[in-house]
Amino acid sequence: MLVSIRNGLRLVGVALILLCAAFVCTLFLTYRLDLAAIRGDIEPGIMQTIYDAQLASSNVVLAVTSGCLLATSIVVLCFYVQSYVERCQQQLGVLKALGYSDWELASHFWVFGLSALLGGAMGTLAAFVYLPVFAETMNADRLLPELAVKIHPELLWWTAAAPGILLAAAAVLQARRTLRRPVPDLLRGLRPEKSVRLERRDLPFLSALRQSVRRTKKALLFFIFIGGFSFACMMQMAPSMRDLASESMALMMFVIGLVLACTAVIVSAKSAVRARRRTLILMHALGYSRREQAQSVLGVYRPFAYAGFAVGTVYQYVLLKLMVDVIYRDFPGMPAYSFDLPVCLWVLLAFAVFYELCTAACAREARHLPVRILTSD
Amino acid sequence: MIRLTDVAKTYGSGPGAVQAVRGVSMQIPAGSFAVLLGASGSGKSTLLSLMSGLEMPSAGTVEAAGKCISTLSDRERTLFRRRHVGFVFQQYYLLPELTVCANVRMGADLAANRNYESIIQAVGLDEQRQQAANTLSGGQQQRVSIARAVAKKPQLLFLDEPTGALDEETGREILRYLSRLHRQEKFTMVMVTHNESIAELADCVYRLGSGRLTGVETRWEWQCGSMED
Repeated sequence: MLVSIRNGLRLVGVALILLCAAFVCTLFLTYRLDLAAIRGDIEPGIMQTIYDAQLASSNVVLAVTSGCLLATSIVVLCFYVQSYVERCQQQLGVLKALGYSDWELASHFWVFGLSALLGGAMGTLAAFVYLPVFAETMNADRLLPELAVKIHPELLWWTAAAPGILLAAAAVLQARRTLRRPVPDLLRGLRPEKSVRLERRDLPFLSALRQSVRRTKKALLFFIFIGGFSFACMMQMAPSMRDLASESMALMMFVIGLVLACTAVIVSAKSAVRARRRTLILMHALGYSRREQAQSVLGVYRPFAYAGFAVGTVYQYVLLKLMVDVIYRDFPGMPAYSFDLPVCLWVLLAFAVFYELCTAACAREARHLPVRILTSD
Repeated sequence: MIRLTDVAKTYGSGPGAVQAVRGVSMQIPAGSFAVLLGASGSGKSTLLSLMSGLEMPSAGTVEAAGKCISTLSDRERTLFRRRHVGFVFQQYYLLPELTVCANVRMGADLAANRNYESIIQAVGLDEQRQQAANTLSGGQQQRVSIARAVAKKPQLLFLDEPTGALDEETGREILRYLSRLHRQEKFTMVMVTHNESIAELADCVYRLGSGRLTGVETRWEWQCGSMED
């Protein structure tokens, strides 16, 4: 069959995103449950203030992390399923011609939810191992009563099983949506391309191509934006969290930010090269240089990466300001927080190096595309 | 002139290796219309790839437009194709979402040729210039493909089964246009086909079978040859 369990497990990007989401959510959900268990031991005054602040910050982290990462993983999955269907559209067209319905074919795509299940399970289990360290970090100043850290195995349902089911359903629906095309179009391998209206009649070819790349596969623009956003947000929050919270929180943010940014940028760059495979081979055959090829296909995404970086920088500043000035305003010993320009500039430099290296690596991959597909033999 | 000396091409290695071309030596005179004729799998498209610098031979030398292209690096061969070579493929390989004009400029811009609009007019697609390529018929798409190749002002034009995906009438129309163009522009034109009737239009016909040159036929005064002559 066209879609197997092996295909479902190959979605490394989705697995990594959900691993990070499950890790963070398990930590904060467990902490929240354990905090609720000691509500009766909280004395009014400073202890109550700290208790309320910890609850509120846990809620914010849970809402933001689960919402953002789950939404991102669904978009990544839907994009992958659409690309997969387009790659196999001729085979799927034959099956449709033989009498299989769209739902019968789409139902096999549930396997793509397995990556989410696996990533969620691994993240949750990693969080279970890290829990004692986390609880210790959150109460390092001993301002709250000692927490009895408990492992809640039922969380596996919320952080692994439920996302797995949700993403399996999303994969099936996306496959159904992509398959809803006439059989002749699928058999001929026609893609539902949109016409690009040129803004000026005499637009040079490379400019027209860049315009076309921007207007098709808009999901890639979103992923590149998310890559820049995650990198900026997490890398700049990490040093602040070292001052405001702890080293281990800072390290957690750093790792999650790097994983998300790498996943988003690499998935997008590889997908961009794959989507324009034939165009790149044709350009090479006609005599366009590797640099021209890379600029017209990968260079288009650069502004969106840096736009994501800018938005991520603002986002992390607003979030931390909110935490410090509102949620933790009565927390004793809470240091003041202000925008750190030197950190921002260093992170920007690191992002520029990281982004250019990733896209250069993907551009190099394009050199090995087989020219033979152009000839009839 | 295009000259091949004892050229071979093997794909893969070990017991599964495929010898697509075996020890072919031939020369195609400058300005001639040459046809590589053979059944499917005879190695004619592979030979076209080697002559045009798209691929490197496993053995032997390939000379074209005064250069030994089999010794060039990938970057140098790309530059060679940019300056000297035009291609027309069986499957057209237009960019479907771009307009006719943008597709022709894909070739014209490489040669800094600002005359692309007259080329679009010459192939009879002036009214469709701002239409997306994927809305055109097969014959129209092949004409765009030819316009793109010709807009590069090539010395060498390589065509891989240009009428293979077209009906007979449209195919004849395309061939008439190509013949006219060849007489006007005087480039060296090499066409791959399995169709004997197309071969009758050529100045030189090179017959291939199982990766070897099995025969050479010439018309008029052209000095086509197998190098063993």
